[in-house]
Amino acid sequence: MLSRRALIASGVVGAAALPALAERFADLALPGGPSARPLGPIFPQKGEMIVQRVHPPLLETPFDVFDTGVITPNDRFFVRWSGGVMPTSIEAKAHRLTVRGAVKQPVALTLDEVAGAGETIEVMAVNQCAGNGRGLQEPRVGGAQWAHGAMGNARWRGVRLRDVLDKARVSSNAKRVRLAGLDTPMIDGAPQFIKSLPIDVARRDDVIVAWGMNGDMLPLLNGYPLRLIVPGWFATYWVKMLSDIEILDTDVDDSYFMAKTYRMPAIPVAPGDKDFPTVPISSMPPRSWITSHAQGARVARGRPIELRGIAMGGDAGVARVEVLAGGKAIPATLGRDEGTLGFRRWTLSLPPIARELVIGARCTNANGVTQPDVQAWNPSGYARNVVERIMLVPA
Amino acid sequence: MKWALPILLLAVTACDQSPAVTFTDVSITLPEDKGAFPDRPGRQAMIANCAGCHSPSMILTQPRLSEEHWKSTIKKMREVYKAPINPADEPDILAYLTSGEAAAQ
Ligand code: HEC
Repeated sequence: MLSRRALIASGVVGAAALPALAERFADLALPGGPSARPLGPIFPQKGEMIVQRVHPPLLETPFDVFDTGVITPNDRFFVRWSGGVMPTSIEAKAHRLTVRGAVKQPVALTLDEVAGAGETIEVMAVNQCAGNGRGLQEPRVGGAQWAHGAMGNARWRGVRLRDVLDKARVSSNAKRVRLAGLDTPMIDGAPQFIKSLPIDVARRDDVIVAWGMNGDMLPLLNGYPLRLIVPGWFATYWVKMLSDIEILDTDVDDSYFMAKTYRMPAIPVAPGDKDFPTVPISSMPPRSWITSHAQGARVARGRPIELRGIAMGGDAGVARVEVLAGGKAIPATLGRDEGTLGFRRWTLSLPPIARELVIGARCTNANGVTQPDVQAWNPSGYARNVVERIMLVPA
Repeated sequence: MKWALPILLLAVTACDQSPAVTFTDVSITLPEDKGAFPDRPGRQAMIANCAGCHSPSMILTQPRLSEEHWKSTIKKMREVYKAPINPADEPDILAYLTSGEAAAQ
């Protein structure tokens, strides 16, 4: 497996070794396979992406992009639409964001009214799919078979959600804020992709309705014209093409994507377990990756190894990153904090190695939560955050 | 362009005198899906029942999974997503899903 896995070093292998479906493939090295994914077709406003599914689009960021900096460029940012019909055009003047439900004054805001609802702010934050890394979990489970690239970090620009909510004068008994976008189910009667947040999360200082991403407008595939940004929480709440907000006066949201899926076991479970209690997936745990070297990378003998990577604290900032090597935990040097809930660069110069060495990066966040050595298995493959390891080979 | 400058130690940055944002119309054309179900027994049942809502790759990228798992997937497609799956095609669909690249490894 090692040589095959080593191919992720480049992220790319030639078509000759793999089924002839497209010119170029990525090898995701998923345990047990299948691991080959086409790097085409190219989607509008996007560069080369790992195409997990053309329709509806599921596009993964090639891993080498994460070595280029803490910001994930818009044209390489992952894309995940649920199974339904996503609009392919937006008429700016016609778009409305409605705020209704437990409010004193329901409103239907134009895009200009949304942009004028409050102070324009910018927030850097990691957007990560709950199922990022699902394809790496063993025993394997069904769902989108992502490797590490269902995540990205951007500077999001918009207005606070609470300023938008205040336009409708939310009633004092509001409990949850339910969000819907323009995408609809394929067949009538199937559940619409709607999600809800507790009101105190919705009113947070850094929860915004964004139109800007890394200094440009959101690409349509990433949710233009408006997308909810919930720093520290999984991407399932970051509703795209936001068009409707319903204020609920109850703590219980029984809609499908809250009540039946996107849920984590409330207790440790093993494959085959049934009928255990679950809770909605919500905030993210800390994670980190080595980006300078891939599995099986060859390093020059007798020379220090310049390691580089990225870390995220999840729902808190990054406190420290250590590289685990040969039974030791060596502290890495953190790069500048460019945004507490964004990616953070780390570097470490590792002493020369004489034989193969397995190393991993381990992040601890500002709440004192540390990445585990062993992944707790769950039936949906959510919230992977085990220490990711690679082997270095002296050459 | 004050907001584009690096932001030190602050999660949230206020953008005073922010330039007014201009929302334009955007329209894209999604690429065609050239993926197909590889030819093996059951392929016709897959085309008839499983190609309407998502690319074949949604199915072909799945790892080796048990027959019980696939039965529950078919049930979910039918009951949750309202897929009109012909009950008579189910044995062929299951045969297809439990064979193939991942299943053979
Ligand atoms: C009516 C539309 C529809 C039809 C027809 C349909 N599916 Fe799906 N399928 C969906 C939706 C919606 C999803 C969720 C996609 C997402 O979350 O991105 C899905 C997801 C899946 C997944 C991903 C794993 C999972 O459990 O969610 C698999 C595998 C799958 N379908 C297999 C099948 C098979 C096999 C058939 C034929 C028997 C089929 N589908 C027919 C709508 C459909």
